[in-house]
Amino acid sequence: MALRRWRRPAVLALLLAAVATAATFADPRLHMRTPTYRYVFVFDISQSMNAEDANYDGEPGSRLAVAKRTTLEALMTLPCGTEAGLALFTGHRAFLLLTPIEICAHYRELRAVLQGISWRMAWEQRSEVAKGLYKSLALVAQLPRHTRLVFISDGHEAPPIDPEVPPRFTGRAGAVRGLVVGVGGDSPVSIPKFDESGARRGEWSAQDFADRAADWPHTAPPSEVANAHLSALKEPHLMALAAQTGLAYLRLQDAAALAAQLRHDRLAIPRSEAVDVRAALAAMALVALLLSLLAQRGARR
Amino acid sequence: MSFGLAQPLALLALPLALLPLVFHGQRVQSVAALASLPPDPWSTAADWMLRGVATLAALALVLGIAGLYRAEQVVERIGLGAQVVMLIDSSGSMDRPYVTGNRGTSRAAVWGTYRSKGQIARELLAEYAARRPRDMNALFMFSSHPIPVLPLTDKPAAIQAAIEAGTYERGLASTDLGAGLIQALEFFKDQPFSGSRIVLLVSDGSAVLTIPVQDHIRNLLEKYRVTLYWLYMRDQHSPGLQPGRNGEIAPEQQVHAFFSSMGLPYRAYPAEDPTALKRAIAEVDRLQNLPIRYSDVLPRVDLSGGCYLVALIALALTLGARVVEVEL
Repeated sequence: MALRRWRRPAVLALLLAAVATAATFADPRLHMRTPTYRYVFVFDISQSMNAEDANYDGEPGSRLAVAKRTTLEALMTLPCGTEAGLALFTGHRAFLLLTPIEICAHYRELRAVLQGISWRMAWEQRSEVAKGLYKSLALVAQLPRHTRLVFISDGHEAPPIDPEVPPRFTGRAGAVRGLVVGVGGDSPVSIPKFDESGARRGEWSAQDFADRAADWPHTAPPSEVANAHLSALKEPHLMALAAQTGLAYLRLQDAAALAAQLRHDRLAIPRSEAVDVRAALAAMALVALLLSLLAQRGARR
Repeated sequence: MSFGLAQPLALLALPLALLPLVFHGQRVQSVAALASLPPDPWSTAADWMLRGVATLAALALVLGIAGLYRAEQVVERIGLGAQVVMLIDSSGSMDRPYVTGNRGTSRAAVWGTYRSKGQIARELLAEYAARRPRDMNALFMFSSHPIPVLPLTDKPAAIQAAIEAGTYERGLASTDLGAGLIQALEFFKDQPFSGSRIVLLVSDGSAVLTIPVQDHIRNLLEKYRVTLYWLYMRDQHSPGLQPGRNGEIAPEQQVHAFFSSMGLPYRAYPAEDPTALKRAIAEVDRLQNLPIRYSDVLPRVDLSGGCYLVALIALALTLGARVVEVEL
């Protein structure tokens, strides 16, 4: 009987294998939720970022150079599909260089733009960090939804904020999510000075600031005015700004810590992804095929 | 050509593919005395053939699960294209209303209520880049200082991202056209001469070039063999590039007069002319068709579907053989 031939377990298993394999041609897909990420990195390029009190893997360097290197390395560890954009901050605003683009396909381009970021691009000599952060948030709010801000700065306000007329934050805290990253050391260090051609010309001295006392609010203590030419990471200031705007704060240590913060659930963008399940069917077919062989081995009639 | 696996760990299942050689899976017939049967070479051949087919099925399934693919290939091609440095004026003057399309909206120039010269310029550039995908593009900006943004790239998404970035916010400070132009030209210093070179200046030209700066620009254009194109963004209240009765008065007229007098390849395209962009592209097409080397990436090709097809055929053969097995 022809039908009896089909009813043997070995043949049925083999039939199952063939059917499962045939089913792969229907290209079945499952929808899974996988996180993705989109950031704009804003780099403070004001002169205090040239202070050399940061380090990368124990190797000392300027705050800006270390921030760039660490960011690039952290970016490399993020999954493909992540998008990154780059922007500058100096004066009182951010300036976008690149809207977010996918990091794996454009690694070479992102690296080139990132490495090209320099204090020489500065269009203003001021560094109003609070205003710069507020403007950065306003900029990111105009980009596609779920774009996160990563604002990297030493928090050095020049000229200093007058406590009587502090800059006002008019946005809604938490409307844009992201991270404030502090870079620099705790004790004040001098700031290198460069000429127009980019050659180093000593350091900013107290004398350079002597005639700029008018920049300072009259309530500022004289010791602070006397040390205007020195710079340290103003961590409490950056933390306060982060808290006010609903951002997280991280002190820049290494790429792993930065990457961990970048992949934080709060910054992830939920996305549904179609996952190819043909391999599962093929695995089923393989198991069925092997079972069929083994079943026949046991059968002895 | 090289091949790869998306899930190499699946190869651990490869030994399983050898099982059909050991366990043939064919129906066993009991015979009183095996020795009484004559050796049959056809039967032996059929036996091993069937084992081979089953092995092939298992092998193909494992390779399919492992996600066999042909790796992406980088091929170098010779094409017709150009190396274009887009040099965008990002000074405050580019935030002013553009000459057309702003009627009745620009009395109070509140950012966001009108279309600025800078925004129109970037729209035109985006269209230009989209129409010439073979070109290598770089993007520089300038205001009071030059800002080199993106070195030469053949990735359309990257150049579009750099062009779009300047459309969200106002431009920066003052204009130093000379410094911007010099930096854009100096960029060619370290580049191999592998195609025609263009600096595509996008500006309203409200700048003054001093004589030493003019000399420097002329020297660099000549030295690096660069063609200069100027996509001119006319202001709402500007007289345009052509001098009127009173001679060259407006700054852009002076800049245009200088470029024209250099005796070097140069062309200006007033952007308010709706055909300007088309003419500019046509001109680049016509003049810049020197061979350029570029690398093209052929994307990876998933071969697991082919594996499954082989597996299906082998399984069907095996199944057929099982069904026609005879019972003595």
